[in-house]
Amino acid sequence: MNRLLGAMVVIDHEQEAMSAFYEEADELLNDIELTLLEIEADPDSKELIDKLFRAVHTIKGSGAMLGFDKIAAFTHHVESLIDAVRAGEVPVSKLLINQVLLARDHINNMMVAEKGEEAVDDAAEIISGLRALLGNDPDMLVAPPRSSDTKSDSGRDVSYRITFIPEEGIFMRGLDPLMILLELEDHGKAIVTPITESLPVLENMAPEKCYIGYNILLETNADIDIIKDVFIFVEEDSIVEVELIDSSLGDTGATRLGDILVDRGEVKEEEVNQVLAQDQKTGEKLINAGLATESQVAAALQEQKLLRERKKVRESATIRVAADKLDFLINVVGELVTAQARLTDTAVSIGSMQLNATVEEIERLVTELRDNVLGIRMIPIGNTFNKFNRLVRDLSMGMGKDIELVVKGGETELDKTMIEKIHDPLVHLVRNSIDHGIETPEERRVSGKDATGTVVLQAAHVGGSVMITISDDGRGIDYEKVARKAVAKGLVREADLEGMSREDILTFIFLPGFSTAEIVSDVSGRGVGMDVVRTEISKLRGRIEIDSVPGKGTKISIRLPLTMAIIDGLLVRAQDTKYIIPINRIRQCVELTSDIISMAHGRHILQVQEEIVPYVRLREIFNGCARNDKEIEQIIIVEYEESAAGLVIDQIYGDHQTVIKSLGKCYEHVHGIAGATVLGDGSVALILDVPQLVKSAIDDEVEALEHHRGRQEAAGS
Amino acid sequence: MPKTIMTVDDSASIRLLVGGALRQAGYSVLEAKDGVDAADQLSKKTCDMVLTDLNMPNLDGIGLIKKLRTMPAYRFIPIIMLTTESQPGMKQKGKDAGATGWIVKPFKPAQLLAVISRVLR
Repeated sequence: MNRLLGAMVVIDHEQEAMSAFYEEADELLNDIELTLLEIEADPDSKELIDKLFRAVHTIKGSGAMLGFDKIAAFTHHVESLIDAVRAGEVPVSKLLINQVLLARDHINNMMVAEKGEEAVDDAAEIISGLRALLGNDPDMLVAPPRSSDTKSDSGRDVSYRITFIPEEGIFMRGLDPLMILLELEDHGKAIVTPITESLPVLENMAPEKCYIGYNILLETNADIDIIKDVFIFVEEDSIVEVELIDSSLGDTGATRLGDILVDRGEVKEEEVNQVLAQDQKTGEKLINAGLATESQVAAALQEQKLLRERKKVRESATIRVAADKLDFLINVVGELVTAQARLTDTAVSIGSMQLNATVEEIERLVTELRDNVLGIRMIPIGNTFNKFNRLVRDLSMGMGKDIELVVKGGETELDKTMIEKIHDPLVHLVRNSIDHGIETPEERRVSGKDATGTVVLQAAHVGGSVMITISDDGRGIDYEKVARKAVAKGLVREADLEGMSREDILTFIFLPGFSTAEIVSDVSGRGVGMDVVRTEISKLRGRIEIDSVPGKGTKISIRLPLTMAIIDGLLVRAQDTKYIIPINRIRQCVELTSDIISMAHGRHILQVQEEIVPYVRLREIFNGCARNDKEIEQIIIVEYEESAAGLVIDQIYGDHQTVIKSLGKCYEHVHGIAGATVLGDGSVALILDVPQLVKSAIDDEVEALEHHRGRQEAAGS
Repeated sequence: MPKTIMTVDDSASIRLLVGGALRQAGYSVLEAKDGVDAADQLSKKTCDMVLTDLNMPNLDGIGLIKKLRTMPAYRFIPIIMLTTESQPGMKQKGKDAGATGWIVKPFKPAQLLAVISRVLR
């Protein structure tokens, strides 16, 4: 709706401006006539000439702004003449006054013609008369406005080396170097190294002066002119140099700091060689020898880093490894981690300094090994996500829809096999969004949405899993239609629909053979239904959920386990069972004293700093047995959505690193458990999925409350 | 909070055109018809940026810029001048007076908004 109103407002203010111009021009033309007559009587009045000039200048300027190009072009001739009079180059004469009066009449005719859409002759005579008075050739037409149309991007990523040293007084002109740096960032990735050598000591610093310069490395696909444009307001008074970095600099293997400084023109080659003869790092040596400043070296180091990364990308050697060899390696490393944890515990109890030192070293090495090995199989999902850009573009164009793909969390890493297996289901889901979800631009405008639809692909690590979501701001799922179709296909009885929630209705979508597309379009393909998608995801031991709001959009969430992940957790005990709570979820641990319990008046809440935090007892959720009054309970405060929740347990053991092992199909429906692990002593600890656990506990609580309320009402009525 | 831009121009049609375009882009707009009017308003209200024509009666653009730079609230705000190709020397005079940047008339609203977002974020 806003867009529609916006469009109407545009017409309004532009039209208002135009009507204002007609009035304004009338007045100004009147003024011009009167002023000309006054000038005739008083030809030396500078004030009158200025007034005349301003009037003509305004008609020209405003006319051009509002699109009256012919009027502006003609008026330009008059303006040139008056300007020359102002400058004393042309004297005021009767002839001049006459000519300008004629010109003024012509402008008036043009204005009248504009209103009535008539044509008017081009007054070539008048123009030549004006020019004759000037004695030389004025520039003909209104100069075209400075084109700030963006030039097309060259498409390739290049690197620019930019030096920007603002003039000291830059702030006094209302400019802020930060704005310029931010604008550069709009065009690509910028690495900024400050030049601090000009900073005076505090006593000598004037707070309103700018003493810092900047060396910037910009990776972008923009043309060099676009980059230079960023500096348009400062280039005359500040030092600005924009240079394309010769990519061959990195090619020949020359990423030596000295070479880079030479290339930047900051040091001479002989000086570099001289200094290399000593045994320090090149950069330090150059600084100590006074041949380069710290800032220059810092900036060159950035360049070196950039070039080396680029080289690495081009040259990276790869080795093919059989996946099961890798799995075996990962398993062994996992057991090594467990064994090392036991070693640490044992060493602590022995208490020998010598032993401790070695054990610490082993701990460090094992951690490094663990991280590295895990990293081998994991690759960022961003590569896969980015491939969807092309798909979205082609599909949406083919359907006459305008759709933008937004990718978030591309750095989220997943096991390589999982990424390969999730690709097809993702394609199907994205196609669904484009085909059935997002409406045509016309439909969208009618419902007050932006003509451009958005599909968001997002990945994130949540709890012990990876969550991939595909969401769109389209028309959402038509629950009515789904329900009717389900009845038509005999999947459910009409009568049973009565008590069903939206979530229940959505589950029909996953049943085999269910498809609400009237026409089996090429886009969504035949025979690939949501049931196949769900099967694929189950094979990966994942889960898929749909959430949809009619008219607003649909969100599909896929939760995948990180089977091979090793995480840091807190080992705790509730009753007889041990649990692991992921460390990154934990805020703090608090004792559950009898004071806290009594203050809560029977409800399961406590105050932590300023927040009221609800808690649940793990033993109650999992074992369902009564409290052992002898033990002091502990509450682990964990993050839950935007706030917190408390998990009550009996004993905290301490940090524990662990390999998550999946519990298998039997238990995957259990809410709150993400997996299990084998402890050093052979016992099994359950790894908690905190968000799920808290959510289902809350749901239970709410249900119990409603049930209780229901009974109360029944009793009362 | 939307940013406030003061537009100074003796042409009512320009003020309408520019003011309308700025409001549509979400800015709050103050309008003045010449330098005196602008300085007067700005001594009572504040703005985040000033857009001023150069050719105006009573107090022209250059004069206004100089005056604003002496007012504590406006020493460091962006001031953009509306120049025309036919007055090349004005750009330098403006800069000397303390102007931040310029945009050349005639310009399209989109060009104006691009220049504004260059100096006002």
